[in-house]
Amino acid sequence: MMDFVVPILIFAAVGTCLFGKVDVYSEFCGGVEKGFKTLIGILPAMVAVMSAASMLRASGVMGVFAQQAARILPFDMPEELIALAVLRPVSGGGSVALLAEILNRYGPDSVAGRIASVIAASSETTLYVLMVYFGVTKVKHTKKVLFAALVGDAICVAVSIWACGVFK
Amino acid sequence: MNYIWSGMILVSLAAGAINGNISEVLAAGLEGAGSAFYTVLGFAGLMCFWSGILALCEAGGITKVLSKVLSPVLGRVFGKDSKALNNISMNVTANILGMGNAATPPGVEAMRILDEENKSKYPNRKMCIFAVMNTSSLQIIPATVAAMRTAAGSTAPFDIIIPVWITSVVSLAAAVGTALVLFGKRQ
Repeated sequence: MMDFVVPILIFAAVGTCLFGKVDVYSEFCGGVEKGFKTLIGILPAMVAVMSAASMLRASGVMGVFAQQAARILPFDMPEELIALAVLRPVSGGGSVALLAEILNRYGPDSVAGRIASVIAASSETTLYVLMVYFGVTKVKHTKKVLFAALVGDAICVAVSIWACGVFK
Repeated sequence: MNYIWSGMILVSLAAGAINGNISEVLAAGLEGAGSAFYTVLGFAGLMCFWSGILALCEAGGITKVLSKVLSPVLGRVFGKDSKALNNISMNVTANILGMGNAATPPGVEAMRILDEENKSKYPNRKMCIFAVMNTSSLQIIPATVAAMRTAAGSTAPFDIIIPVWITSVVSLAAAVGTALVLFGKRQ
């Protein structure tokens, strides 16, 4: 079934456009251009985070952190995965970069690669979203909202690990 | 992010100086910058393709249909007569299709209306639920992540889709549940 989800969506997208006499080709190209702009937008954060993460690893500091974290956590988790879980709600570009690192280092179909993919795909840059959305309101005191959102993020990490174990 | 990034750079350089491997640390930093560029190039094509398909979803009306289907469900949560409902369903639809940029304008507008309907200086339950719906991801097709997986050499980039759905639903439920506990029934 999963093999058909994506093709059906593409088929429906092109089909409805053609049926609705939309200028399919130029709409598609317009979308591509937007996508390309998004990519340029994330490049600076990618360079910043990937170089800093790679320095942190080479200096041995990341290893020390991971050892400390491994003592607290009841299961084995690569150090980058812990970093991703922490960084995901804070920085969108940063976590995309970290995900890329994990995929390159451990392989996209490894356990760590799969868990990282699921974490990244099932959560958002919580702090940024709240900043934008509550930026237009008069309300102060958004602590409770932040708390609820972060509970969601923590559950997201836990369920990702579980779900990747179940659906291999 | 300012402090995190500066901290990462300063700590690594300091640790490198102490451990005597500062030149390797520097080389690693430059190498990381290079691989960032290659990584973006690696998934650029797929990402652009998906942006194109999403533009077609919007132009062909798939977005509108989805938004119509969703609005009765959302009406139960946010109140059928809320003026924000239209914006909320547009926001949710865009989120489901993974169009983050398209989701923001109606989302912000919806929040502004919810805020107007809320007469207090504390956020109410509706505002909190709507906010956490946007901080948890509702996306059905994780296009960016799949593109990155392909670029990294995955043979089955969409293989993660079921865990992603489960995780998205459970984490959204947890966030909404927490909101309900914190805000109770009172509006």
